[in-house]
Amino acid sequence: MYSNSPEDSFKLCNCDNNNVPLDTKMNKLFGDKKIGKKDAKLNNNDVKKEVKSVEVRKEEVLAIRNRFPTKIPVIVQRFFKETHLPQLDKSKFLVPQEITMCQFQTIIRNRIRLNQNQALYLLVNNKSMMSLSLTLAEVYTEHSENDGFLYVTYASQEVFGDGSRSTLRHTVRENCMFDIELV
Amino acid sequence: MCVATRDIMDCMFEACLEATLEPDDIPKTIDPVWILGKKYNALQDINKIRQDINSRIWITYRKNFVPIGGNEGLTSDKGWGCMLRCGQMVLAQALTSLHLGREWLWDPQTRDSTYLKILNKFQERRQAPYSIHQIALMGASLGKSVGQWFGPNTVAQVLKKLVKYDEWSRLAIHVALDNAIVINEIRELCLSTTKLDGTKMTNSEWKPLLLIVPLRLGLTDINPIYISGVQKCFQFRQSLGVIGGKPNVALYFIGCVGKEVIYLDPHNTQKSGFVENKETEEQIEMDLTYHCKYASRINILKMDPSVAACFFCKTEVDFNDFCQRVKTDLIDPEKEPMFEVCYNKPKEWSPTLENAIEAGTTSFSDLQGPGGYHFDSDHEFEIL
Repeated sequence: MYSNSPEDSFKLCNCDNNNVPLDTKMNKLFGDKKIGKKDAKLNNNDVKKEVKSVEVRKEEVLAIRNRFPTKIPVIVQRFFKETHLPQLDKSKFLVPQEITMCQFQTIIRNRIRLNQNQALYLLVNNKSMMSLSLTLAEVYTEHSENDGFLYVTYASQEVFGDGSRSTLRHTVRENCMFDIELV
Repeated sequence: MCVATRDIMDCMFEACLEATLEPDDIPKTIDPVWILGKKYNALQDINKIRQDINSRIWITYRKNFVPIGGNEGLTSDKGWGCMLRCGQMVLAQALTSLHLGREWLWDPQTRDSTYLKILNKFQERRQAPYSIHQIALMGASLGKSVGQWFGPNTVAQVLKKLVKYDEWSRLAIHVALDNAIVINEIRELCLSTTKLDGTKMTNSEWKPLLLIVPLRLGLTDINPIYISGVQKCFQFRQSLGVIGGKPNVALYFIGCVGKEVIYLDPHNTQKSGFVENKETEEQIEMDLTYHCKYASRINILKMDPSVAACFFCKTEVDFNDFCQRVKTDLIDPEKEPMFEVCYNKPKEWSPTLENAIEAGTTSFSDLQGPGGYHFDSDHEFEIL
């Protein structure tokens, strides 16, 4: 079902850049599993929003909220430039509304198996770090998108060195211990 | 205009600048200038500001040092060591504040033995506890091989390990991750000693604390809501500045004025050498290479969002005062504060029995949305 052939990747990238109307096939290709694949090139923070129209996403949220009124629909995605942290295997979560951002962060930490000395930041709407004592319900009320989802991006910290040696930087990052394989 | 003419004109312009104009290190403004927790007036105190900046230990790229990790190792950190140098600078400042005090000022003639002892800990040789060699090799033990680029948290984690071997300073480093300063974790660190057999003993004497708070103030750019937070970081009496940089370029931010931050730049490759007891001409010259006459500035919004705010609390009283001030100055006035202070580590969430049953019995295969939309397995939610 999910071919990893170069042609497919090429098509995907093209589609992403040119904003070609999305048919069902693309929709499938851009589904969660595809995003979950460990391929940074295909990963884009806006993937989720581009895949389906607002209406479809709204319906999806409505259905799920009816069924689970005490849970918050959250989409968690890795920052597209992030290379140290592994991908989550899922990006759509239903999270109990009473848990705090801090507890949610711990859940993500455990999911991507970070040790306690590695930095992890959750940014809501690609902008701000939330106060960790806020509950998901509070964050949702303030920051949910029109489609009813709460969008969270996770990232570690940037590294610094001379830009002219970016090739070193690239290889170096690939060999880094923080690239933990997903099971 | 041909290139040659332009070059000549550039040279003339620069010569002219040096001859007639003052360096543009500190703007002439009525805004207060903050340098590591000290407030100055830019118009009246310009000499004091420059003397203060010049007194900070400035650590830069070096070349021709003893190879790191054996004969085949790197002999210069040009191009990769800037964040390691920033880490050295913040630690050197912590040691200066600890052993000499924040008010201490350097001058080219000084042969203060405590100052020289601090400086020698950062020289380019394996035996120096905080040398580029030690930092790079400790980094390697944490998975960053020698020559790799560091982020602020990486260098903080490395320094935390290295200070344990410095009995002279008894410095404790705490790296506060997850945007939270947990008071009880720090009290335990600073008030207890771990004996060789692993048992912990409560100590009544506070270990001087270097507190490092790694943050991410945005994804690609600093979110403007954090500008006032960044400014305040330099105003605490306990401020040790901020390590961070511009994209790809690590810098040590030591102060701010208005919407700009003032920094020391490690990107100047100097030759290696030792200051030792500062007796020979060469050693006196070498000491000069550890001090920078004029700092530079950039707008806060031009900073890379990955930073680490650093603070020094010599005593328990300093630490309590710091926590209080973070609350009143940095947290209470902000809608979305940069970081928080709490007494205990917040509890981890674990699913209740009810939640677990709900999650375990739900299948989406038969779930149909109002528009006839099927939730197939690709689009399933994970229920927590």
